Amino acid sequence: MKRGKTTPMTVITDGLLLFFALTGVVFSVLTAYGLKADHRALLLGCGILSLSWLTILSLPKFKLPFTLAALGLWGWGMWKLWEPLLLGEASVWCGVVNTAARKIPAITAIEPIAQLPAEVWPLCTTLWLLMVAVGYALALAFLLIWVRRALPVFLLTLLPILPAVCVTEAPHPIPMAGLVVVWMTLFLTSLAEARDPAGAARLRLPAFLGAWVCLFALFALSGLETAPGPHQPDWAAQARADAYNAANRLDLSAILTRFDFLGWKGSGSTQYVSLTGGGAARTGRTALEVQTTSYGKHYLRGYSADVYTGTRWEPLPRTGRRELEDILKGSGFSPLLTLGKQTKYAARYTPVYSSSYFSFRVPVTGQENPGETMTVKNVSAPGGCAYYPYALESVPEGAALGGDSHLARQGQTWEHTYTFQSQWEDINFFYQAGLFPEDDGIPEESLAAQDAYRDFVYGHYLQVPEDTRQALLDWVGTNLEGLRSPEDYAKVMKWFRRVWEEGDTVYGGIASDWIQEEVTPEEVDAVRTQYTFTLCDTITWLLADKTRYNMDTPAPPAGEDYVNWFLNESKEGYCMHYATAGTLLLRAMGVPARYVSGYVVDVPRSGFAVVPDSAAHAWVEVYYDNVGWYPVDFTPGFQGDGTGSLTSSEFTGDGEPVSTAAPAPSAAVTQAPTPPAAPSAAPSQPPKTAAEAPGAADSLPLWPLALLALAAGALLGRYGLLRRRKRKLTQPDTNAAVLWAYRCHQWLLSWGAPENEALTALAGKARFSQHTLTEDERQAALDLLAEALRQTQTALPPWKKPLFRLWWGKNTL
Amino acid sequence: MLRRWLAYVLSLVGAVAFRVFYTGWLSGLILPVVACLPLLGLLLALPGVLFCRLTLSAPERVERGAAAAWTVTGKSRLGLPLGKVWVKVETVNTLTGQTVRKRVSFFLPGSGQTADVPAPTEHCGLLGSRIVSAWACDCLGLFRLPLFRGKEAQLWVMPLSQAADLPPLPQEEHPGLRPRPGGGPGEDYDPRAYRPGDPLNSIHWKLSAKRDDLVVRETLETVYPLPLLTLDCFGSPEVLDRRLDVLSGTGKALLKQGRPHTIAWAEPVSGELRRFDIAGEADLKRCLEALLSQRAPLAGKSILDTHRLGRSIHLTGGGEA
Repeated sequence: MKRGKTTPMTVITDGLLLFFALTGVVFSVLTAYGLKADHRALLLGCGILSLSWLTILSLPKFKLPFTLAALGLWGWGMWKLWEPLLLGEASVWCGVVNTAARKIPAITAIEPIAQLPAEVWPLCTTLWLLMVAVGYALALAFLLIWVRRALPVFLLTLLPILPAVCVTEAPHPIPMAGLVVVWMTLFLTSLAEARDPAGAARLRLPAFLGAWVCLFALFALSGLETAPGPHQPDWAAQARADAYNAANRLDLSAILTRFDFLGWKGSGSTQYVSLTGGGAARTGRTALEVQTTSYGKHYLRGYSADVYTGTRWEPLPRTGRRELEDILKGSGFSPLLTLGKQTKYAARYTPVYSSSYFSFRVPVTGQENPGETMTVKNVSAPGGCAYYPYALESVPEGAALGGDSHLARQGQTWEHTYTFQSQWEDINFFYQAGLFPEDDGIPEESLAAQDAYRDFVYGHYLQVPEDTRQALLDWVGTNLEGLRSPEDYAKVMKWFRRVWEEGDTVYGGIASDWIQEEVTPEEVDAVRTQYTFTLCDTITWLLADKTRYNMDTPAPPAGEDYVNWFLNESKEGYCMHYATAGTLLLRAMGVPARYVSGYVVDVPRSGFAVVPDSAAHAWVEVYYDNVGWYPVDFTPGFQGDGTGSLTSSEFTGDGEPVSTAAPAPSAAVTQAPTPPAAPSAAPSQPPKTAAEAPGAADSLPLWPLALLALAAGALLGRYGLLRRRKRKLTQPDTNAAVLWAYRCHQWLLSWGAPENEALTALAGKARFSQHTLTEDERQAALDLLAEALRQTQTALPPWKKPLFRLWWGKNTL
Repeated sequence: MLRRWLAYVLSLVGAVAFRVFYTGWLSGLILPVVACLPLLGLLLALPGVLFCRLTLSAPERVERGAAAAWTVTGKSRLGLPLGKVWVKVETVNTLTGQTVRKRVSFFLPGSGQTADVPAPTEHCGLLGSRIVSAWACDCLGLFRLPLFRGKEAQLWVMPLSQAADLPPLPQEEHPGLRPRPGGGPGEDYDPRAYRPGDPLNSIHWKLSAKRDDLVVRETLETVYPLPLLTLDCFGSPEVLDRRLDVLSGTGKALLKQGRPHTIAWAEPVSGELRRFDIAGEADLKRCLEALLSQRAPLAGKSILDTHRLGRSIHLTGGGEA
């Protein structure tokens, strides 16, 4: 390899880039894998190495002897420091494996076997990194100074941090920025680098400075957050969700689950729920493993979704999330733990199981439910959320609150143990405003946050697109007389009370004069809980009565409102349809509600259950004042409680479930929120082929695949054609070969080739002569054909030449 | 450039995919960096482009058919390399009117570079050449930036020397007589009728008396007539080439013999007479340059039709009457 003329500027810029690249790689490795080392020693070592190799490779003579001497010195050092180097290697590998283990559950975290003082490990790591950096710096210097190609340098510098990047662990921003600047500089000067090193050196300096300026500007303008954790704009999160949903339909889950660090895990819960592509694929793989002291049916909650767009469920927009953060910040109040706390409080009082408006406040001293425990192990469930039962008493170790929507799974924790109240399901019957002591040690900030959150809930969880709202009201018709709003319900109840007190008897429903009643806001608040319960009951009955459960319901046509299509057109659906319709109907009637996805598990008496991904499910949460979010399942066949109630085809996939009018779910409760994710959320619906699913073609058209297949077929056909032609022309039978040459020439005539008498004569001889043509005559025919090909191609207009080459090939002869 | 664009688009798609599927902050850095790279490449290439000058040069003259080339020289005063440079050179043959455009691309390092563009020397004429367009690519090779174009250059394509088989030329021993401009004394004269303005002392009184009309003596001088070569300056380029070859060869042959001569032709459009007395190589060169630098259409006025020059040798170049 010949190197261009070396100028002082070349040497300076080579050294600059070498130093930044080496330092960037070393410190990126250090920070990406969480290694502890002596930073000052590493920085100094990188500087010395860069300078040494730069000097040696820039020498006009004796490069090889000096390089060999340096490598010999390096080998001697390795021999002398072998023991500490082995320790350093162990430390580094532990860092690498543990980094992967944080993201990939199949990998277990490891620790070095050697029991050494804590301060020894960083020294060994530093030593190992420096020794490895000697060889690495030589390779880097060779590529930078001699080869002068951007791509090899880019690949060489990317390689050490690639494993960390693959498990979404990014290095520290400063070394990474240095590395990115080196990449930018190299690519910007790549055109001149190999041909004019001296000129490229003059270009490198402004490119290097420009790259830094550009990077600083990007950081400043985009407000890029470099803290660990997910940072994705809405568009990227949506695109990811769409991609995973599309992959769902292709049933690529078996492949994608191998890359679970990307957020994919099959059916389960996600922040974004696409409603247009059908349900997630169900493979039957184990998603969760549950061990609990409370048997029976449990709803294991993942994400809740808040905003309905007509084609998808989304989390709250950024402004809403910030508003929520402001409310919850430092208050100690969590909407996800309220249900558990109130259930625990309720246990102090005599439970009154009644749906009547009146309940009694009868304290029972010393009766406090100690709660149940449940251990949930995430085997292959998707998303970064923890799946937890309702009525949590506290946030478990290894999880964190994710606003009011989910519990975020932390680090490499894949198994969480929850403490929860199992008797939460009757809390809505039991509770009414003022029942529980308000001064039960709850800090004022927490009470203020609770009030603020209530306002937040009524501000954000009643939203329904106007068109959808009208469609819902039209669908409801006269079925919800007196239940159209809490105010209506308060009026009806007041009318009932008045009629009762007046001694009249009501037969055949309510009279229309209830609407004349006057109610105060306090009276409305007093009946809000009962109104919500009654409304849920009625909506459950309505949905079961007017629609049919069907696991194979196709996706709605493009552009159709999902819930409108379900209620008025298809009139059949599965859990996503029922949960969506239920949520929106509740919202339209003035009850805050949201869409939730997760798993439903029926724990046997043994207390252990394996949850397949086919147990993924969607349901609704309604908001009760002071109780918090309470689950309601509108899917027919899911309203039963207790062990063995889950007979729905949603899980078994065979037959239609028995629809019952009974409301509300059962089993243990708790609440919590969490962070990101991406793929489809809802369960149900077996995977369909593109032809079976009407909506599939809208989001994943088949024509690119068809085009690709066509192109591949055409290429194969061309290859076969050219090969056949060549075989015919070189076949042992010279007469046949010459005749083939003649035939080829005849085809050439259509491209505008002139007649060739010599070839025609040879072909005539081959056809009619008694003699076999000689090899020379065959070669002459081939030469004539080749010449005709060349002439024809030369005479063709430019746009025809590629077609000609495509058809006739380059080396046909 | 197409390959570079393809590579960049792939990189951009990769960065977008990285942003979509990778939730860490790194993807938030890589995507804008990849998106900004073309802008940075443009800005970085601008100084080099602004301070780059292209010049065009060529040898002064070549014989028809000889290899010749325009030399495009590019150099950035800042010493910055420009990567690939595309130059389109247009050449116009003044005599035949033929226009040829040729494109050349070359790598322009910081120290400067030259590139040759073949000149069309198959026909005689004065070739004028200019850089029609010149572009340099940016640092990433994605965009083309215009470069300043240098001045025009010219190249004489001279005819080959092909001597013609000439008929016998007028010999010096048979000089002729012609009226001497301004008159004056002389031994030889011719009587002619008086014309107003003739001096009185030129009147041949005796003869006037005999004829009863004024007759003057017009003094004659001895002249040695020059061979007159004529040609038509129109026709196809091939015909013109042959004529010019013959003209050049004949002129040189006559000069070699020490025979001054005259070359004349008529402007093909206006019919105006162009006449050059050739006494040496310099005169012949001047005459040929005048011929080569004028426009010669396919058809025009012949000198034989427009002027009566007496005895002359009309050069056709062969292949025509």
